[in-house]
Amino acid sequence: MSAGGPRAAGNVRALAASAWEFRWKVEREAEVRFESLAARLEALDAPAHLVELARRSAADERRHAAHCARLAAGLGRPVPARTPPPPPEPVAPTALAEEDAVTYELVAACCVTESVSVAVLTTLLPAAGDASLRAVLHELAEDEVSHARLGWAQLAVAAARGRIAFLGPYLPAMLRGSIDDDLFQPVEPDREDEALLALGVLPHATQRELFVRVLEDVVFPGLEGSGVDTAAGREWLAARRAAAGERPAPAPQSSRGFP
Amino acid sequence: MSMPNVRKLLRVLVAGGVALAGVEAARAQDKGAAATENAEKGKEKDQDAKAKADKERQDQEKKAREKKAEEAKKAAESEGGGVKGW
Repeated sequence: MSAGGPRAAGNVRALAASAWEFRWKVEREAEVRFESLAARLEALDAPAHLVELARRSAADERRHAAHCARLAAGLGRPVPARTPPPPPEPVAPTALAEEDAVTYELVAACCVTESVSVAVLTTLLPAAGDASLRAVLHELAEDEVSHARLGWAQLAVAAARGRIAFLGPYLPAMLRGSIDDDLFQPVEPDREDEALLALGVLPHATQRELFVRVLEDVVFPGLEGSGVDTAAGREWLAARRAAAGERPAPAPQSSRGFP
Repeated sequence: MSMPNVRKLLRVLVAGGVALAGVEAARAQDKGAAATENAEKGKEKDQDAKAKADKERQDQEKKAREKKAEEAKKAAESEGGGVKGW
């Protein structure tokens, strides 16, 4: 349990409750986003199995939201019942053609965010405080792998059609929008408490370290493998790390990216 | 606390996605229109003048491209967003 006694434990519990409430909102937005993307992919005559995967992802996210709501409520943060999911904010630049806007959104939502989510969930799994939480994390991790693959699949299709060059300059905005504003800033000590792990939440510094590793070892190499110029994204990450007082990342050994 | 094997994650997510796309057999050959050059034979005394004019034109085009790229970069940085996750 958290060092510092009952008050610290209460703070940790409140932080965990807030995190699960946030995740509930994220999952509900993701449900609507995937439903919309399924319809847009279908309208673009995308491969049927990708359309189906987008629809299945929407159903997964609805189930995930229910888990997150239950966990938040169990920690003392009940979520509003029976409210319709809010429409997600559009993330693709308005100047893009529809085909490219769909690619942008899938890269942002899946290649970046879902890939990071998979890493977060697999890191949390061994530290889960009870079997019930572990089962939820395992279920979510399995589903998020499929969701991430949807993005990488769409990127491969777009690359085969020669429509990925536009992505490079947008990477900083895409990455910036995927994180909290304070990820590369110091936070209050309670947010670094290792006791958060048992409640399914990463300490802040661990969250940051994981984000950096996933970008450097999964997202950037994966994008480069499809021919996306990641220079702007790497530059953005280096600047964030420098501002946080971290050492610069070593230069990538291969532009191909795949091990 | 152990970190996940991110290289394994790379294979699972990225390679899995590429396989899902099934692009290996259907990889497009279209790389976009290649630049074409007009070559014309001129008289030797005109070649130096032409080369100079060409270089000036290329310098101007390069500056225009760089300016356009910089404007696009600025525009891109002020547009588009990301998706929050876990």
